[in-house]
Amino acid sequence: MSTATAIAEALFARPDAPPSASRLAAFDVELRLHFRHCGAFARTVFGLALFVLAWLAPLWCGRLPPLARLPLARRIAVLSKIEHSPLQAAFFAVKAIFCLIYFEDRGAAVEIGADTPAWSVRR
Amino acid sequence: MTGEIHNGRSVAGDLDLSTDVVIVGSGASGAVVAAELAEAGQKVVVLEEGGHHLPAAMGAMRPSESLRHVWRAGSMTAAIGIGDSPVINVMMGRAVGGSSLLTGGVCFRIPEHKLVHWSTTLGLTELTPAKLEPYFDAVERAIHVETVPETARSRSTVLYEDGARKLGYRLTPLRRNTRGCEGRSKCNFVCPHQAKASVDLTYLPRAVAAGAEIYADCRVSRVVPHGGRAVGVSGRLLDADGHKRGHLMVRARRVVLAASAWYTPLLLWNSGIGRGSGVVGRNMTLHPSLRVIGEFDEEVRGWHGALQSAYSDAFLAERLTLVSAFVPTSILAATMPGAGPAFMARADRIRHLGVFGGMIHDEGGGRLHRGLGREPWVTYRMARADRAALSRLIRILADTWFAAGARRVYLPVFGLEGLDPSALATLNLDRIPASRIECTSQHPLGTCRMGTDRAHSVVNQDGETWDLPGLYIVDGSTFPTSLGVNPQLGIMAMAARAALRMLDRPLPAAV
Ligand SMILES: Cc1cc2nc3c(=O)[nH]c(=O)nc-3n(C[C@H](O)[C@H](O)[C@H](O)COP(=O)(O)OP(=O)(O)OC[C@H]3O[C@@H](n4cnc5c(N)ncnc54)[C@H](O)[C@@H]3O)c2cc1C
Ligand code: SF4
Repeated sequence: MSTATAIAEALFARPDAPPSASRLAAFDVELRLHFRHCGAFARTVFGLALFVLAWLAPLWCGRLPPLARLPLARRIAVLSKIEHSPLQAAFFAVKAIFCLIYFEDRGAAVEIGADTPAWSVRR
Repeated sequence: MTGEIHNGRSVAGDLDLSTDVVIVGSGASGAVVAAELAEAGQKVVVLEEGGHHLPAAMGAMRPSESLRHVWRAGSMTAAIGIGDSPVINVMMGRAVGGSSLLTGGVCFRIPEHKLVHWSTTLGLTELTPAKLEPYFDAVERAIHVETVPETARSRSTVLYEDGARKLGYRLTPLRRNTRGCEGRSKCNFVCPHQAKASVDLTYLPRAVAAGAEIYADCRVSRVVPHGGRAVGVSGRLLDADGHKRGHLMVRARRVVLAASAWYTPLLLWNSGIGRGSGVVGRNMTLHPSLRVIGEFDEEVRGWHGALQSAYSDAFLAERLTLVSAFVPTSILAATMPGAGPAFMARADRIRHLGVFGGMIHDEGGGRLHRGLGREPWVTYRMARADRAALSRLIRILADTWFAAGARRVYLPVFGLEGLDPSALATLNLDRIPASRIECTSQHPLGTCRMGTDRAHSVVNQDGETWDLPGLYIVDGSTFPTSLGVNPQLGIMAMAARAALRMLDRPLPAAV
């Protein structure tokens, strides 16, 4: 699993289950498309933020990196903790982009109560 | 003879042009100058780094698509805080139409007290309220500035106003450049109905109708001097993803920079201009802004209604302006703390959230530095008084939400849980490191400021650079101080004025 998908799976997990594999796959495709067209600067900043979350965040929480190798519950714990650490800016940058893309899936948007069809796409 | 909008990405080989005036940047300021000069009969070429998208195509984009095709660098541009200062996410447009495509439509004239300060204390005698009035009038007519009716307010704004009234202050209707706004709250990601009169729908079509040629996908790298004056610009054609293609050379009798307060200084540095005064890239003000979220028991669905409809200047003496705002539901969800089930449980409450924001009328402290690549490296040292104002702004917004009946507020502090009134009462906001405060800016200004002498400014009162005759700057970088209100209308009025000053002087001979 890629670092981005591993983070998305943890970030958007509900108590009963993580997001479906098909929703995560669609998210991954859209994320790649996004950074292909955003320009080199955005790619560099995002790459740095992902690196921080993949390698430094687990270390900060006393876990062995990379993040993607940790079981789901540990990943959720690491991300929750990192929000209160000096690495929080990296998490916030990633979270903003991930939410923007993830909740453009009509199903995901409707689940949280967003009735804004023009802002999402049915997959 | 009408002009055309060309896609640089489809131009084969290099581009070599000659014209009367070349304008770099097709945003709020560049578009105004292009229309005024073209309508006066001058041959105008506009070069824009971003792509050209038809209004309907942009309006149909999802927020993420808009972010990658219309925003600069997917909005990952930021000023790094120095000392007790927040990191500020600075948002800008990069497409034909510039940041004007992304505004909330809010229109303010430059406040009279600012113009009095500029024209008396700073000696900018041409910028009195009376002298600028005709330009404001003309721009307001051209972009259809109207007052937002109270019926267009979202439930979020109505609730906030209720709280404000209980605390003894009022909201005033905003004025916006809209026609037939249906209140879809998508303005920052381009209006789906072309109801917002951005420059791609107003000034740029006028410029094209008068013969201006606009080239998208053209990144200018430097101004070309010859014989002690500006005679053109050079740069590169870009492909759809911003990669370099052919070379670009435009010879002109006059050169106008309208590339915004972030990119105009870079062009000067690349061209070796403005080194003398040492003020290029300095004195940047940002109007740091933030929002506080109120959570209600009732459903708010604050995205139904005009994105921005009302404001309050009740705290102007404390250099704060409060403005209604909303964000796409996906971004709203992102502002909720946590990860996994705890985060998703909060995201499930977005229908119950109200949003209201505000900005600080900052003292400056921003500075551009040359970066390694094409992007500047930007720092921001927030003045102590501004840091205190940040806390004050958060407190006012949160107190107002509670007065309106919110059960909880979410402050713009990374990782901070929602607070009830007693938790807010015991929170010392001044002790939270500013680096944890989530701040944004849509208003970078002042990096090539206007002044009356070359030692302390970059351009004179006509917008012409002290260092290189024939080179004009007309964008937000020329503002000598921050405004405390949204700047687009002011930038456009100042650009209209600069254009007429150019027309007062004969064009120099071509070289
Ligand atoms: C999200 C958002 C919301 C906003 N909301 C409001 C609002 O409600 N009210 C308000 O008054 N203001 C608002 N603003 C601010 C307003 O849009 C700007 O102040 C205004 O557009 C600045 O005008 P400008 O001409 O200086 O720059 P811009 O409009 O940014 O135009 C600069 C253009 O130059 C191009 N460029 C840069 N470098 C080069 C180069 N080297 N070669 C070629 N082209 C180049 C850029 O791509 C861009 O298109 C908002 C801004 C944003 C981003
Ligand atoms: S509120 Fe909606 S309809 Fe109105 S200008 Fe903004 S995006 Fe367009």
